[in-house]
Amino acid sequence: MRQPLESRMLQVLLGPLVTALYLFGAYVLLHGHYSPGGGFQAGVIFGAALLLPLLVHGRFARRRGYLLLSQSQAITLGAIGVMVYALMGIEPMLVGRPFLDYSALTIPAGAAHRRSLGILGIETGVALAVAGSVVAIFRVLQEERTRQPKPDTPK
Amino acid sequence: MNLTLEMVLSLCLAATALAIVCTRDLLGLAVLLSAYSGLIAVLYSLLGAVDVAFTEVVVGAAISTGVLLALLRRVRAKITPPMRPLPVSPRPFGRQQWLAIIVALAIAAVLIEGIHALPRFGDGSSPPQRHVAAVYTSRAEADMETPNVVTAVLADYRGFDTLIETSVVFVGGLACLLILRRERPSRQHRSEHATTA
Repeated sequence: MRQPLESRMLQVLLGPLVTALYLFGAYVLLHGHYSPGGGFQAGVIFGAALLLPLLVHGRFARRRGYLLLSQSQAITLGAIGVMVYALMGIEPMLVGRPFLDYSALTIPAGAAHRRSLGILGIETGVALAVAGSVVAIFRVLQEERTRQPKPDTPK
Repeated sequence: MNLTLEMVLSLCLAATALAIVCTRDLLGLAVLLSAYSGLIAVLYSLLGAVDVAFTEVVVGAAISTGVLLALLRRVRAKITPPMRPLPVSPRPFGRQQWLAIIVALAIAAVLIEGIHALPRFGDGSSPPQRHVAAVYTSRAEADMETPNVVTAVLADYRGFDTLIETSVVFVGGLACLLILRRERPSRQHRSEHATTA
């Protein structure tokens, strides 16, 4: 996995593909109120955009300028996602309303619009959590192999 | 027309499942699993469950294939070279195999019998439709400007469930990390112990 795939075609097409994936992920996330999709699907798409360079370029992915996340960064991102969701729930409690009651969020808008924005907020949290978890799982599967054969090499 | 398509898809699914069981090639297995997810996603969307189909495509066909490939590279590096077939060989049928077949057929018979107890597809008077579903579908747009009822139910009416679900996904990722990552942290730990001792 650390070795790049010897395919010129994949390497050339990767750039546009990753860009399109980020765009599509953002669309799925922001348009989830009106069409199929939402935070979970968007999170997986973002995760795929973060993983594809690793599959194609192996350890040279960072040098090629792709956005990558390390193991710990990925799991931190996942934790931030869960925290965003939980905070969206706690915020209404500060004004004495039930947990996760988005209509009590402190946003200057109508009640229905506040709930709509609340849904967008928690979907963002879900997307971050899912993307972080997916990348973390992939990274741990990928990294162990290189560490295993020669545990004594100094870093 | 739709029914024919659904039946053709179901047959393809069954064939793919059989191929998954029979194949010895691990790379082929990853591709077959991905194909299975793609086929079943088409079936879901034909049945009207577009959100489920979408999730099936991104998780089953896309990401898990990527993760399987990553895993495969690692496993293959340990078994090979050269790539040996899995240590399962087709043996002649013994008593155990016949027992297994009888049990599988019995379970299949029970499941097929159970189909009659299911409500008809799209039946508005079936138990799941009679409770809160009508309220959710009729009020979602007025309540939160969200025409996609699936999003409205998941994120707002059932927001607490989704919060726990999200934490489950995160904890799953965290658990993978804690179980599979072993070299570096333990050594660091030991050296810290050595310096403090």
